[in-house]
Amino acid sequence: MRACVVGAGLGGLLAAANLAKEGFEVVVYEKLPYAGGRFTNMAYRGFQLSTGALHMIPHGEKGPLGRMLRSLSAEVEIIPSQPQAMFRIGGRDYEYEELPSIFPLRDRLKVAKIIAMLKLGRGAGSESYRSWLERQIKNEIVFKIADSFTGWSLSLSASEVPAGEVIAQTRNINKLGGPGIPAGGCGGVTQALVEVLESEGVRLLLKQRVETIRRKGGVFEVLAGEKESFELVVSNAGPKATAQLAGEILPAEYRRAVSRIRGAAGIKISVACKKPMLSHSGVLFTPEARRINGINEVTNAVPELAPHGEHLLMSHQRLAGGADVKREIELGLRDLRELFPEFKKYCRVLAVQVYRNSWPVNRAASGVHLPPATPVEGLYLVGDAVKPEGWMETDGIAAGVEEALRHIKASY
Amino acid sequence: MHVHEERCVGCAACMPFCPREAISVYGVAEIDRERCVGCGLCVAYCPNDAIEEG
Ligand SMILES: Cc1cc2nc3c(=O)[nH]c(=O)nc-3n(C[C@H](O)[C@H](O)[C@H](O)COP(=O)(O)OP(=O)(O)OC[C@H]3O[C@@H](n4cnc5c(N)ncnc54)[C@H](O)[C@@H]3O)c2cc1C
Ligand code: SF4
Ligand code: SF4
Repeated sequence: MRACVVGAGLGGLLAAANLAKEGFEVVVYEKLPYAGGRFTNMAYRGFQLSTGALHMIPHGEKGPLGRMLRSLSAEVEIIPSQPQAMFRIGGRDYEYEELPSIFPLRDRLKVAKIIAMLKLGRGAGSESYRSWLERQIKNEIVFKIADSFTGWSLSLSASEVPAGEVIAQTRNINKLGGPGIPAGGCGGVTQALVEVLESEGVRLLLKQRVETIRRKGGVFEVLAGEKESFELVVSNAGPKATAQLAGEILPAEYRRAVSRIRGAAGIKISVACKKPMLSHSGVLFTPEARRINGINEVTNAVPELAPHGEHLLMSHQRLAGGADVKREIELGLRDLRELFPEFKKYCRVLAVQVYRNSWPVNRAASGVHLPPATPVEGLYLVGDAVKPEGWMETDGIAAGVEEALRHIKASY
Repeated sequence: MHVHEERCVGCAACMPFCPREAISVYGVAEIDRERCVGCGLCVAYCPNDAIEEG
């Protein structure tokens, strides 16, 4: 059986490695000169910047991605963030468990109750996280904390995510723990997967753009330079691009539905620091900042991501639709200077990276659940538009690949 | 080299690969024509087909 994977992003690499292990003869086409898509490294002035991600895996080695990497014998050490997260409020940093203590007595119990409800995973219909919270409490700081969490991890505001999704995600955090940083950063994961593909005999073709996917005599005909035939096609190009590549073979109704999927946009600022700005390797949530939702300093766990003696700090902020991008960047930079009084003295901005439209943070906003199977038998989707409920970012991608594989195994 | 402003998202994927450090990105990529030698690397590295020769 021959399988074609369109795109060597994380979703494509995971799918290809699994299919090869299942005995498929796999060809991966990638239009760019490198594998990994938005989850790999790019060396810049001695720093390992990333093409997308903040060098973190949401549930470290315990989540779906960590589990899948182990099952594929992809060797990547994932270092747990310690602590998972801190929250900067009123100039002081608090751990999650300490949050109730910052509120006046009348709200303290309510906040403790919210934390308990999130943990138990109860009490949400289809309403947004923000309106769910408003039913429990009226307190601006609570809403800001919520926005910083959803902004950092989903590039959405709390009013843009269903409460059920956040509750399911929190349940997974409680069960599996928080983030980890892979040794070598995102590029460490991509490299390990590329090695698995090599050892499984997968053909990974870089600078090979798939132009069209057609159906002929019961097989798929994929045009990428030359025409090749496959029994199975797994697309990592995203639902919109896939609908364009496959054209008429997909029902018009499906193509219309896919064209309406909303993604999530964000801005990442990578900063070189002569001395550490954080004392830990977790996420610092910044609910009171103008724009920045959170910050990490990955070199506290993986020093190799910066030149010897230097540090790599990254901030992330949600980018609202229709916002003036340059102004949003300016406000983000202002936040950084205010959050770190020594910023001017010790830090310099390496890169400002905006993710939107065809190269977003997320091809489908969290809460949208597109199944991996398309209406065309043998044509599947993987990647960050295909995340089952409760799974975020790259753990969501791995969970989506798992679901696709279950389908494929049942039908081939 | 010409940057298509509607296609460029500002992701800076092109920036580190330019051998001449001719690209700066602040919401959108800008190419310093004085520095650029027209090697075309940035065209290949852009995920959004936003850079064209000329
Ligand atoms: C700023 C930012 C911060 C993030 N932080 C984190 C984080 O800390 N942790 C985390 O887990 N996640 C994070 N994410 C999310 C994560 O980076 C993405 O979800 C993930 O990398 C997406 O992988 P993918 O496989 O879906 O798509 P992509 O990485 O986009 O891969 C798709 C691939 O397909 C190729 N392709 C497209 N069309 C074709 C074609 N026609 N022919 C051939 N190839 C084609 C593309 O070139 C690309 O390489 C972050 C994202 C951003 C932008
Ligand atoms: S890689 Fe392309 S989209 Fe990204 S900043 Fe450069 S020109 Fe713009
Ligand atoms: S053509 Fe070459 S020198 Fe010019 S901007 Fe692109 S990468 Fe840099």
